[in-house]
Amino acid sequence: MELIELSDSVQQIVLEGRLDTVAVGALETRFTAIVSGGSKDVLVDLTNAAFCGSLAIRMFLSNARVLQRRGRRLVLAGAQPQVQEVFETVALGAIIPIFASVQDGRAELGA
Amino acid sequence: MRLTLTLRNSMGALGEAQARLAEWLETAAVPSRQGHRIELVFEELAANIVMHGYPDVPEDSREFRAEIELAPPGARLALEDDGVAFDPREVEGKRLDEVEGEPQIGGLGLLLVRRFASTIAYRRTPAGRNHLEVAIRLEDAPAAS
Repeated sequence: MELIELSDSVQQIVLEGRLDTVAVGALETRFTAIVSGGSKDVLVDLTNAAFCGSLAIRMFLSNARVLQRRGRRLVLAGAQPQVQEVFETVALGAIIPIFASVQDGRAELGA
Repeated sequence: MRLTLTLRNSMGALGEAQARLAEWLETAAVPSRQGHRIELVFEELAANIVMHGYPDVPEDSREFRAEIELAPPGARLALEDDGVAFDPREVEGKRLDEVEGEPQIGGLGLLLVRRFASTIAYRRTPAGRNHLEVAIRLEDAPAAS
């Protein structure tokens, strides 16, 4: 997991590899600390995330809600087709904005 | 082609099993999007057993079994464990645009299983084991990604 400060109000978190139960168990505490520790919009870069299971989706949902209460946003960007299929299957886009590319996500957040 | 895995009730064992499954799918030249569905269905159901199937026993103390078979145009996953009785067909998995508030625990994972399955069969054996068999749909997963 890599953190990139894009501006005073936007940070990008890069998640790579498999976002399965084991991986989420290992990274969730740090991910949540980054998101809830700041008062910034968060762009999650999934370009190199090859797998995404339901526990990762729950992690995105709970953190998106934390930011929402602060008037901030969490957006997802760059999902590979097989990950995008998972997002569409659970209708994640109804709650979290999803962008095809990191560039599109940055543009939306003005970063 | 068939892969048989023996897992234990721990995250470490789950991770090892996932790595073996990924390697096997690659060896079998299963297209990545189809392989992702097989891995996803396995992940959701096996993780459920690890996290909820054995609430009162030490980690790594129990074994359960998984069998994955390529059966074109789909795949078959069978799981057998002696944990808490659990019929995943009884959990109502709702899409996020259909629920208010937090989704039910386990609901999202089982929704994914249901959407990628053509049939799900469950029985509790007389010996007190959960036997689950899922036929995974692959024909509508594009071969190239």
